[in-house]
Amino acid sequence: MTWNVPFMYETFLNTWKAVPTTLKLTFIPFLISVPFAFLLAMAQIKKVRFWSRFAQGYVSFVRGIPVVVLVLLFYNTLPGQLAAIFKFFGSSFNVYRQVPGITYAYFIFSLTAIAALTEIFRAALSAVDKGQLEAAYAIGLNAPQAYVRIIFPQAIAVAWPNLCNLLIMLVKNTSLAFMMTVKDITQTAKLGAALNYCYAEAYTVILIIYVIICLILEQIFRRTERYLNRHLVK
Amino acid sequence: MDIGFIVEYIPLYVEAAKLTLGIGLIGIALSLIVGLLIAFIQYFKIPILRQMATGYIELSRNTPLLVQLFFLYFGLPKVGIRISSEGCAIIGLCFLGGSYMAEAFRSGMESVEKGQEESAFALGFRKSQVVRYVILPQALSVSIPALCANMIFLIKETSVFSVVALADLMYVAKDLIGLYYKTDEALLMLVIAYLIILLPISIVAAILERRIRYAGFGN
Amino acid sequence: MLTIRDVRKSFQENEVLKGVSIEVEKGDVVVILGPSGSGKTTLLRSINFLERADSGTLDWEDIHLDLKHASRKDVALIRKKTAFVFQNYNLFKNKTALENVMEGLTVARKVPKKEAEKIAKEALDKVGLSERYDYYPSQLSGGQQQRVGIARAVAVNPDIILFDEPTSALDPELVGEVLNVIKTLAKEGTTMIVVTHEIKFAQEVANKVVFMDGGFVVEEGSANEIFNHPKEERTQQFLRRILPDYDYAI
Repeated sequence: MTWNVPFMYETFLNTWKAVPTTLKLTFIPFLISVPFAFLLAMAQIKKVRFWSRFAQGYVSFVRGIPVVVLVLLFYNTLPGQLAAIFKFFGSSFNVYRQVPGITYAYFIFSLTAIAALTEIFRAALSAVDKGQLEAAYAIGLNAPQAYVRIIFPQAIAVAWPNLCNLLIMLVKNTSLAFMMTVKDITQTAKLGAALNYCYAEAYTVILIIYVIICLILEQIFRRTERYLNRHLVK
Repeated sequence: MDIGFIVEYIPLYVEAAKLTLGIGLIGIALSLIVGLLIAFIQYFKIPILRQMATGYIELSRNTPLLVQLFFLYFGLPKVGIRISSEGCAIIGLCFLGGSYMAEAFRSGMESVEKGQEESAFALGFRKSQVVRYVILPQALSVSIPALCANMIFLIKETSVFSVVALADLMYVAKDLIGLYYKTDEALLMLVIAYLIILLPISIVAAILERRIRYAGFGN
Repeated sequence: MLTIRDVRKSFQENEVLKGVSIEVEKGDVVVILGPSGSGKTTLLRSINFLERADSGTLDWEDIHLDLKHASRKDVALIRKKTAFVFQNYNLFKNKTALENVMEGLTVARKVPKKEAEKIAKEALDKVGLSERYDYYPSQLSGGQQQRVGIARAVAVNPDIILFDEPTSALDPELVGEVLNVIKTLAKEGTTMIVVTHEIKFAQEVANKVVFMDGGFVVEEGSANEIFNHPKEERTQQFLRRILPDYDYAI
């Protein structure tokens, strides 16, 4: 019952190589979801016909389903659907061989990110005083100028802590990518563990790496939060 | 869509749902207790324990439940500690949930104005009485939306239990897909099962949250 | 210079403006008085389209607009000729005082940054805030914030400044400093429309007074006429209530 420390060290180095994949799985869905979430949030605020309801429904639905279920759902059905579409258009594109698992991962994680981000944006945009927008219009700014220069900076400051939580949630969700044959941290360490039978060490390593990633994220957010809120009561 | 298949396997799903909910509720209850304890430790700034509490929170919030379960189920046996699937699931859920609940309780307790505490002391309350009769009731009403959100979150997290060979909803669905290739039917039932479990709770939580927000602001 | 005719506006079932007309000449200081709910703020906000009136027309020199169907270009044009001072200041919270004042110049009127900065500083000096260029609104008192709001309005050199109850949200001690700034502007000949409760201030600066109640213009005329010789019973009631020692001669 010895603790294989050299193995831990080796696993640590190997697993660390998979960190970029995990980061990609976190940030690419996040970036993809930003424009969609913004549009859905605005639709809710402005009570746009149909889209407002759609946004509410989408958010409720996705938040009610565990991510694992979404993974299972889309990973099993999407390739088939895509293949059917390509076949319909007479293309010989082989979906099964040419679309890597990570693409589906991006898609599925984007879906969850959009739902969470929509809520965050909606709350943040609503928190900005309506008078700010009126003053901007009164002074001659058009809508894009008013939003970009006045509303967004204040909304982002409000949303910042929630954005941090969201990113941490996305980082944790990436561990499910192993179901889609993606070599993220968890998958890499698992493989290493299986080869050497050193499970305890391997999983300890993964836990440590996740903690490191998330702590770094938290620090970044905390430092920048001070800058973003510089205009608030000193 | 093979309706016959669906009808035939509903009982299986119901069993799995009961298991999921059962373990989930036990995990939630335990995490509430753990959370309250940790919140006390942080609020009353008990030395040493407080640093440990902070470490625990950072560890459990920043790691996926999946990996925590892997560690408990596959890792620990290697150092001689063997825990059953159910045990791992409950421990994992409680470990993860405890820190989220602790945060919710703590922000509730901190939102109670100092003046409340001070006037209670002035009236002659002992510290334990102050906590029990003054701070906690007020703290709870602030914490409840967060606590409800956490409960929903924890129930959603139970979906990874299949990795520790627990016959929960996901396990059943994957089994059926693997055995009978009835992918669409199995997935449909899975989604519906989770919706049935989670939608009512979400709606109740949303109503509670709205009520409390109105009460909080007053104008 | 500016003529508003027959403005009507309803909010759901409530008809707030029932056909109001008002005329402003260059150099006028028009004060709009009236009880709460009389529609005076809505009227003011309809002029620069912060509220869209249900009907009515706006004539400005050679521009003729329908208040309901004015295009975005028309609205932008009117907003370039006017400036608005809000009851709760509405300073841009994420910008310093100087940036607040410069915003209308650099972004909306494409004034180059150096020149805008110069104009902004002059405007802030004028309202007595030379020491506060780089302060954020959260670091300023209510009176200071409102003065920044006025500087913001002055800086863009508008034809008319619209004041919506500029002192109603201020602590009593801070009201004076803001009123003084407005009085100075009035003396310099700035054309203004001011909605206010401050009767003494109105008596000092106004040359035209419009008294509104229940969505109508009850009485209008020169300041002397309204304050000293009010014709309508309603006007007299109002003045009596606002100025307890009020005494008038017919």
